[in-house]
Amino acid sequence: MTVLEVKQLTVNYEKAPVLWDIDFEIPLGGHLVAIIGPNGAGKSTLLKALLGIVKPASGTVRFFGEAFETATRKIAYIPQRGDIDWDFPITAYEVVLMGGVDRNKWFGWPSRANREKARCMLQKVGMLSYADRQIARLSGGQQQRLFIARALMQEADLYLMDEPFVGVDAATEQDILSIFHELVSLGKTLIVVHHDLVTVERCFDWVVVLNTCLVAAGPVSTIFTPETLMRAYGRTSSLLNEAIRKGQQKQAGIP
Amino acid sequence: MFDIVSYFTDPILRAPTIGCIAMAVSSALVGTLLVLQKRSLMGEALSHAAFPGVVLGVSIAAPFWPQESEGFGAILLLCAFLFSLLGIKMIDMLQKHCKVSSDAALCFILALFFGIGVLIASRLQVIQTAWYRQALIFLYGQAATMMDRYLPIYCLLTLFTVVILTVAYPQIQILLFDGGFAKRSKIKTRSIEVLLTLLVALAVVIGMRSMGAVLMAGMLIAPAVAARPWCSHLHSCLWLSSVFALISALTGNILSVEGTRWLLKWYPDWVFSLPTGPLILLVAAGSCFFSLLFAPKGGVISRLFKRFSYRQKILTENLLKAFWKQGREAAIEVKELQGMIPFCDWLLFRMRCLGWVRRKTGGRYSLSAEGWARACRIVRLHRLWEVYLVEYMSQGIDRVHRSAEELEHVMDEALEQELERLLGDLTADPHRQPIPTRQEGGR
Repeated sequence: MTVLEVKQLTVNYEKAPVLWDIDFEIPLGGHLVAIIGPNGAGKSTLLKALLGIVKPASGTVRFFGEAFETATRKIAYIPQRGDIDWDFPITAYEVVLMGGVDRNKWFGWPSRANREKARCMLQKVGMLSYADRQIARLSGGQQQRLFIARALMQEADLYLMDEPFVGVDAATEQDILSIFHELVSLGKTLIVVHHDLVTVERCFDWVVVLNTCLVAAGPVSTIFTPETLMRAYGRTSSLLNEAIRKGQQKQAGIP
Repeated sequence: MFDIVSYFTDPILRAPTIGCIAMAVSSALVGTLLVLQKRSLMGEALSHAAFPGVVLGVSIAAPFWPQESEGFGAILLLCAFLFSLLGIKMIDMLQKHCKVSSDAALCFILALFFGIGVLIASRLQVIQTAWYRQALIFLYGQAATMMDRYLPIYCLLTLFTVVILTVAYPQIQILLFDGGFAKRSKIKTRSIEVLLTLLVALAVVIGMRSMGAVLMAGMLIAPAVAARPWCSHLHSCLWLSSVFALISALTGNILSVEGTRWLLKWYPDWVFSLPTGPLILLVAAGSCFFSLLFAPKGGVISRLFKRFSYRQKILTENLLKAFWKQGREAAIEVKELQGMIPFCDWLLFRMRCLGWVRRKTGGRYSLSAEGWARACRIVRLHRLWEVYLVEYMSQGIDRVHRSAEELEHVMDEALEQELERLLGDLTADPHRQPIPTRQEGGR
């Protein structure tokens, strides 16, 4: 069994970069996985396709051998900062509490156990003293840690993250990484869209290199080589993108 | 003077007052959810979409029931409710299947339904004038003619809304804040969404009797907008918007009754009575204005005040630096400073009150121990920034003074510590000027 198995995944959703015929798998056993690739390579699209936010044109995605729909309990997603409405009247504590919501009910208040757990998770990311702050009044790094706390609250086995280190200072980056490594040592898998090539070798042990198509996927030690990076970053994929879009428009009947 | 209690006991006054309060509170509650979901236009579209339902309802019910009877009212409300649901359904379909953007879809449905309503109404005007008048009540609203027997349904609706919001509060919060998360978590988003939409449609339909189709949307939005800048919790938003709505409804009723009495007394030949609905809305709009002006975060006044105090802080800190340059014990004449820094007299007065400067003989001033420490801190920050800009950001030495001049004022404790951690213990800045130590800065 694998944590994640992607077979012949193709996405040509109109608003997102294209993905073409992607195949890779991530084995069990706790890995910190970076998805890297040049701008417009479809890193975020891949994450959104995995989660079913964007519908793939073809291909299958299996989490722990199951479809996303049945595996949701085991998956936590930390959204990109820009996707959150920071002005919403909600406090840090309430956001974390969300992670423990009972999925089977459409009403009902959180239990005492969950409320205590939410405080624990805030403590774990070093944010307990900010529990009652409205979320817009937190710094960038604190906002990121907050959503990590919500994901921890979900007690998932697989964590998906979109650029968690953007707008975060060096100290917070270290804090977040140590939480990640703790999760990995517990056998959890983290898949992170990442853009900073400099830190890949130091922080991650598995890597998926994208440039519209899959360039390479595997352990950092064997895959993260200058040749792979040249293949991903050295050439532009715009010709392929253009062709795929054309084909898509033709199929939809747009002249 | 008027007697507030009479508005709740007088047989003529109590129905409009209590009815309006119930209507206002329930619409404020669902309106808050709409505003937070950034779907404020929804109320506008629904109330207009319900209008043809009212007109049709009148035509269906009038032949069978006497006007103002329960059966008549029920048929009317039911038709209005069905039409507003039909409106929502069509808006959904337009967005989903025809790829129309949501605001365009809302406006299209609003105009289409309202147009149809007006068309049928104008036909009614010719063939059945009495029916037409009934329909008009729902277009412009008429709170003053409400009767006791309507009250149970208004109060029940409000109670129903409150109960639903209380019971499903955590789920509603998740849905409003992060719909994607709600969906992935597999909480029953669909049923909550349907329920909320039903609540909005109900609030709109019930409110139309007192506010009218045209003004109804205002009652959904105004209390929510008024409450929004004061709150950092969803529940406090809901509470406060209901309070604003309650006050608006009560004040609107009082203004309408007392104002009409006053007009009768002083201008008896004007045949004019102040309508309740518009007055309620005006009071609600007034409370919006009040909030936008006075709210602690983001209010106009508080922003002006913050800008003023930041400006004052900059000037004060510049003044401290001017003192610092003259040395620990130097006394400076006010005249020397006046040329360099505006509002010098005021700043010196304020610093004297704070105990940062002492007055010496002959209009001279010198720094106190506290003032000296603060001045050292500013100079320290300024020079640390210069180091940072030169060493970390590779800026030219000749350019960094101006940047540091701005950055030194925005520091808080956390930023300062981070800067000190990065740079370590330094003694001189890029211009080889000494940097005051942390102890000298009074830390």
